[in-house]
Amino acid sequence: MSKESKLGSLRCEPLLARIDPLMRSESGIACNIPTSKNSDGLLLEAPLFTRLTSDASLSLLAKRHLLSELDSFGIAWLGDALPTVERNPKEPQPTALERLKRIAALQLDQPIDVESFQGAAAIELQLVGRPNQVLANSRRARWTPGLPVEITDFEQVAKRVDVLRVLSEGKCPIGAAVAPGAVYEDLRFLIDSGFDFLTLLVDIQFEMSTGSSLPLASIESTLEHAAKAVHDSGTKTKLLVSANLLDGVSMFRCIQLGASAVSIDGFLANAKPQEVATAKDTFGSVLSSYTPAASVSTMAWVGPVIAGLIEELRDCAEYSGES
Amino acid sequence: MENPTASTLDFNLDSVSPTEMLTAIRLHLAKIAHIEPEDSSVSPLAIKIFGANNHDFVGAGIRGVSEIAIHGSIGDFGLCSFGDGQCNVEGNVGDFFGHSIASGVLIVNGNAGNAAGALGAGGLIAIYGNSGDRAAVGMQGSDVVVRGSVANYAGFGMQSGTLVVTGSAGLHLGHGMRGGTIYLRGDAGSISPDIEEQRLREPDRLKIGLMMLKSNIAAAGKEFRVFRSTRVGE
Repeated sequence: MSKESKLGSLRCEPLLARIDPLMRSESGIACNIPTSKNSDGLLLEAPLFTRLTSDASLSLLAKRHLLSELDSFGIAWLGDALPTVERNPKEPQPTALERLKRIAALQLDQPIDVESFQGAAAIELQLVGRPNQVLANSRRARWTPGLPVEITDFEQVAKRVDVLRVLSEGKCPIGAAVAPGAVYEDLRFLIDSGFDFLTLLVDIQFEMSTGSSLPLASIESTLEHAAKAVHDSGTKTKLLVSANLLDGVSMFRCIQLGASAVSIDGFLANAKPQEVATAKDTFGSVLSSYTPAASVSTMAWVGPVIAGLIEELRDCAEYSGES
Repeated sequence: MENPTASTLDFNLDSVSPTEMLTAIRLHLAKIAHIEPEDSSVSPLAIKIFGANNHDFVGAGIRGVSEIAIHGSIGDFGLCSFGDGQCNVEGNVGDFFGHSIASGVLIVNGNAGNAAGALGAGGLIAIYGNSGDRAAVGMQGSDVVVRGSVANYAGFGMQSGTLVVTGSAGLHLGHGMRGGTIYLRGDAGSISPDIEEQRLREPDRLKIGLMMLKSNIAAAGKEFRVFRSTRVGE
């Protein structure tokens, strides 16, 4: 059986059906309260972003070096702000990384911490995981679509978006990362709830190495349903796609199909030179994370590889006659 | 806003939105920190909020203010992500009051809506009236004291922290609770199988007494029943 057909059989119930049945409110089926939107939306310098800084188990130093390599390309990244390094002035400082757009991640059951939003270009609510339930001992169950534990009513999601907007003083676009369940219904509901951008988690790159990708759905059908949902909603909600895209052509195809930005996680994991040791939870990786020189060398390949990717994307754009 | 070292600020929510108020407060705190970063003689900031009129998001995101007085009732998500200081709400509060509270003390003189203290990570919320459904839902370290009664699903999905109810509780008390403690003085409509009643010990009495003292509520610790999760560690 092919990978596509296997994935085709994975069906998820819509997000709204995932509220604890005991708690589910009976009021209304659709969210009808007026919501405000950030007029600028999410502005990205390049149509690329990375979730490796949040999903993969990179050491702090590896993360810092990865970001300093991505610095000149304007690639957005997801995760918490990096703490300042005081001991070694040669290390790239967070101030030097300010040009990069940080998307602050807010997990499903995580209390809202206003301090984590400081300096963030956007806030992304991670609508994955099952609050208050014991999950199966597998990677996939952790990425099941879900809603925050305190949400029992559709309209409360819109209010949750609005409170994030107030807390960020209206400066940050608010987004949601959602795993593909009932894609069309979920996205229509989330767009109606007032999110400025939505990230579709088609593939999860949980390590920066080849074969460490977790496919959740097939990219074509998911993106088709998602693009239709955005189109039918009549809004300009941006669609970010986190998928295992290995080259510029497939990324460009995704953008043509309706994505505003695509993740470079799968591309980076596959483009990484084989001889470079993977940062995993091993004693060796712990040692290397405390050796600045080693970490610099492990991420030095990122810059040229991204430059090549951007060239390839430009080439595709010229070929298709798009800007 | 002329004098950056002024110790009291007044806001009228008929003319200022919660976002504008938050921006003004943050700007003011930044100015104080800039002028006298180390000077402890600078008066701590106090805020008075008028014209609340059940507006949503009142006081959301306020941190670093020593005293807040809200005149009237407020709507949903009031004092969300609150930290430091003390806030006194004269009237009632809507749903999700004190959502994600990090520290400090919130006192409500009236009733609270649903999900008071949701996802709270620290601090204390004292409600002098009754509370709606799902009080202390998903709480992760806060303390919530309700002088009246709580409705259904109190303590839903609680992970840690303490819920003290001096009145009675509705149905499904402690549904999905994974940690924390519920102290209940009255009766419960039904108790979830996720929690079990335990013997009231001396540390529990002391803890209740201390929380009552902080909340300005007169109640003896020995009259309470203790419920803890049966799912701890899952």
